[in-house]
Amino acid sequence: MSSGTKAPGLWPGCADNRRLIMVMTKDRRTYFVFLLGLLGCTGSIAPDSRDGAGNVAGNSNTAGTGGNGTGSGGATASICKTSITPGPSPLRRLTRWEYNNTVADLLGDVTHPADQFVPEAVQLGFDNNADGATLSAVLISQQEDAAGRLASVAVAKLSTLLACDSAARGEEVCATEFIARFGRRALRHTLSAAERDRFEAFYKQERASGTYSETIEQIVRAMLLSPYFLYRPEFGGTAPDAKTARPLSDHELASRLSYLFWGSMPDDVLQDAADAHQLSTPQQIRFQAERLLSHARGQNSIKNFYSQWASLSQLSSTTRDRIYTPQIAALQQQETEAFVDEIIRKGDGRWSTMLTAPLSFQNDTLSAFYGLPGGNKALTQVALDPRRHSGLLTQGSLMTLLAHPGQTSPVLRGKFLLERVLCLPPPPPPNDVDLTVPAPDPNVSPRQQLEQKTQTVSQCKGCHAIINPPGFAFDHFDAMGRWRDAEENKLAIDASGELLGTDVDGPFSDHVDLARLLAESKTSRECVVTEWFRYAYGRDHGDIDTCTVDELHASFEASKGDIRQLLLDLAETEAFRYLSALEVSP
Amino acid sequence: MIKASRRQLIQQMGAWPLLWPLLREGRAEAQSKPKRAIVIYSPNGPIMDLGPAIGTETNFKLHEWWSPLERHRDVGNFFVGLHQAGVPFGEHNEYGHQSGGTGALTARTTEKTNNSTGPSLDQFIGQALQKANMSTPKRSLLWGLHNNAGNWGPWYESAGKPIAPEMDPFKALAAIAPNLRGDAVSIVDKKLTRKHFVLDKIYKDCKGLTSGLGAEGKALLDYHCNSIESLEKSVASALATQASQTVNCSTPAKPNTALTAASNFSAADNRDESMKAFTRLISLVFTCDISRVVGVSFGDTASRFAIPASYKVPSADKVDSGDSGPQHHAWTHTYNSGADKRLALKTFYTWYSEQVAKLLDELKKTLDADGKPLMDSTLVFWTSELGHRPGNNSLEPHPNDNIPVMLFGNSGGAFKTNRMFTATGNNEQRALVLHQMMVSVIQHTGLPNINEFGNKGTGPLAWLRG
Repeated sequence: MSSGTKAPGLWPGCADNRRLIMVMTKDRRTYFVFLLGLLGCTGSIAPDSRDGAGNVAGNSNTAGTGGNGTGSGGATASICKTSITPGPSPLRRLTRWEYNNTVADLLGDVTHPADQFVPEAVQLGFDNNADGATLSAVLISQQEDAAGRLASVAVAKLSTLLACDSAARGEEVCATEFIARFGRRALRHTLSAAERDRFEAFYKQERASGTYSETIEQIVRAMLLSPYFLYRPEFGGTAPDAKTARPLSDHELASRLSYLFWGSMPDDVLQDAADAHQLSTPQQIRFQAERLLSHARGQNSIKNFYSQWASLSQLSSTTRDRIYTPQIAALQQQETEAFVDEIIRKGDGRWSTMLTAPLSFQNDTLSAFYGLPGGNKALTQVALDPRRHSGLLTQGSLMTLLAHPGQTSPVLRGKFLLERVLCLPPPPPPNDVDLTVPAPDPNVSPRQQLEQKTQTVSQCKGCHAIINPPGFAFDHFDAMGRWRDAEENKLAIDASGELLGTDVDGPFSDHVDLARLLAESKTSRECVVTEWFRYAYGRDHGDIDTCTVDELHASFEASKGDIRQLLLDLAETEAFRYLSALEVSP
Repeated sequence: MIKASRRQLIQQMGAWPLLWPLLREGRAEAQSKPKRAIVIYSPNGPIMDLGPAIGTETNFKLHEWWSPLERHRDVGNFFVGLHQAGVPFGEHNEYGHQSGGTGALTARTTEKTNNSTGPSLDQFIGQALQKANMSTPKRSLLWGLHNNAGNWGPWYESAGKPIAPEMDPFKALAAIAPNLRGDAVSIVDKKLTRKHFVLDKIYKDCKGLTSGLGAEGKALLDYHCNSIESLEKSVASALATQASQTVNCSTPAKPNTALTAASNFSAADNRDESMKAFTRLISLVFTCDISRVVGVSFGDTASRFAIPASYKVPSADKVDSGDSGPQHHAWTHTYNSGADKRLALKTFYTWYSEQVAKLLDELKKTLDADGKPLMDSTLVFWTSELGHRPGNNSLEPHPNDNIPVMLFGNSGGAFKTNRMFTATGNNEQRALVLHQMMVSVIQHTGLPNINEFGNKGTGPLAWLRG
């Protein structure tokens, strides 16, 4: 956790009535006021505080700047202009996904060896958070095993790995060349003379007792176990102002860029740029960032981000009706991944479009599953009925994941929307309430059933008055993401409701109308920035990041919520380009 | 694998001397019994007012610093008053570590240069044996306990080509494993050995990486490095268990190759274990005739060699070279603290002597293929680059004079032992003895016609036979 005042609890006081609540979005120091008392839910809604570090609600003495999007007070703006405050730069370990991508690029190995590793702990919704990169002896052992296997497979095709004719040029010459070239790629920096010397000495020692091939294998194995491979250690370059920050070295920046956009190692172009010190200015960085994002691999991180954002990987283990086959689960995941890539990289990139675009990607199998007309053998972009489908939130994948076996879950859907679209996560339910999902009642609609349960229990009604309505909005989608006109018991669906506790409060008629509201929400756009900040930097933002976050918010607003622009901006901030001097131990 | 049938064959024949041709792969020709040489180098010299012995040729007493060798007087010749072999021709007494290191084992005048103009004794013998078609799977082996990685020697493959000893017994064992056969081949799992090497390397690289990181990153990487070390230890332990399985290279000689699973053989606290492991490996390579020449380096020239803390070597103040602490080199540069200096150097030399004594124990108790101790066929030559200057300031450091030299072994009965040699005369005359002794060692290994080594053709030291 990076910063923020520890909240005494999220949405506290849900049992009380009629209290005026001040809510502060901790990243912008912006306050807005809303009246929850009228709705039966009292207390404050703290912006996303899953980490437990949200700000305390009700601090009416704290000044805010209102809703201009920049959120910076005069003093803060002044500080931003005069000092570099990159914030913490925690040591990042390759996630399992990044490890798999990296060995695929480095060795051509697509067996996903890291899938067998101890999983990272998901923090703040993402598996690449530095706090979640806990270590264990088991993991080290798994990494060692994987390094051994990968190296063994790699040298089986020695001529591919090592394009040097040892018979003509001599083994030692080839080995020396290999250490420099492969080391540069595997360890993601140009090896120093001392590093090369150590590996060359290692080569000589190993060669004394092994064959040439075995010795190269040992080098590969050692490099795959090197902290430079498994982690992204950063030491910074020369410091213009060592008291506050040091710029990252070119190769450290190259790694940050490639792992941000590709989730993998830098390519030769990026490493060449690093060697030529062509990652020194924001313009040079942006040039490379645009290249990486435009590249086919640019879809990697976008897909990974939204896959984690929506927990798409859980689709494969989701139990539904018999017709919900593993193939359908996989297709739904691909559908959503293709959708986000289409909007962000090929479309206008706007968050509002993500929330409203009536399009998707289906093949005949998936279309048939949804009951829609087909005609596409391969996954193809299809236009959907704008009266029924509205962007990301009506994707079959999300609707399936936010449901229970055999029945939908307005609570899960409402909670997700508050948590991941607005960064206003509800608190967990009290310990002493019955959380059993009631069996469907043929005589009442599920909505009525849920309202009856949550409104009659005093501990529930306050928060559920906020959670339930946006969840009801999606009742036209069944537990597998298919459209339905009526409930399973043939009763009519009421998808209307009122959005509460946000900056776009108001009534909506259905999910399409709700999406329209959300598309206008500044809070939602700020949430996008918060989520991408966490993903890009592997940490949460705190007070020290005020300048960075304000800058990102302002730019995101100016771009009308263009996520593509946000990604490029994330690679230009001081938090991305600098290492805090305070972080460096003597 | 032919181990079963070979073992049966050996048991049936029972005539060990006839088995020499069978003891190594790829060596079909019968050969005479191997003669071996061990060249030992200890750095920095004793810097004291006495040589290793005092008395007359046959009635002498070992100085207490060398007292552990008392039990090997029967096979020893102890030399006092010798001058550096390579130096006397230029009278360069004061060049200390540099000229001493480059010349100590090469017998070449090198003055202040940092590179020798020829090979060290061990390398010379190995190369000469190869040239004489008496090569073994390993021409020579060089093992050691510490290395500053400088270029002052004393080990040189040839002119201008210094070489460093292998300091990890497991790597040393792995290097000779392909040359073992029969049951011996199975003593170490090659895959496990290679895994150990990688972990060992990564651990060393890892530890150097943590500085400069933030506190949390450092803690994380420390944990990573320590986990690598733990893994390395467990692999080393497994290897040790495997290696402890008896090598059956030439029964009845059963060298004990049980290496203790020290995790870091370069650490001062593990030096006893390292030397113990190398001692066992020496008996292995000799009994299996993998090599006939082994160099043993306690440290290279000016080595900052230290021994386990349990020996309580006092800590030296920072000296002109910048060194300090409980290490040999710093103490050689300390001009004051006479009592402390004597205690420190005594501790070092007693320790070196104990290690050499244990090596001699091993050579005496390990039987060769003919049923005789390895000691019978082995000469152990021990020298240093520095000595002392009696009659002057006994604490004065760095003269290449009065170098402590010992030679153990009777070369199959050819040499007289249990004697003391006192060299007299000028520097050149006193260096001549050392020079000749090196030629004697060369000739002992089966090269009787070589009369020249280093920068002078001297012939052997006749005194050894007479």
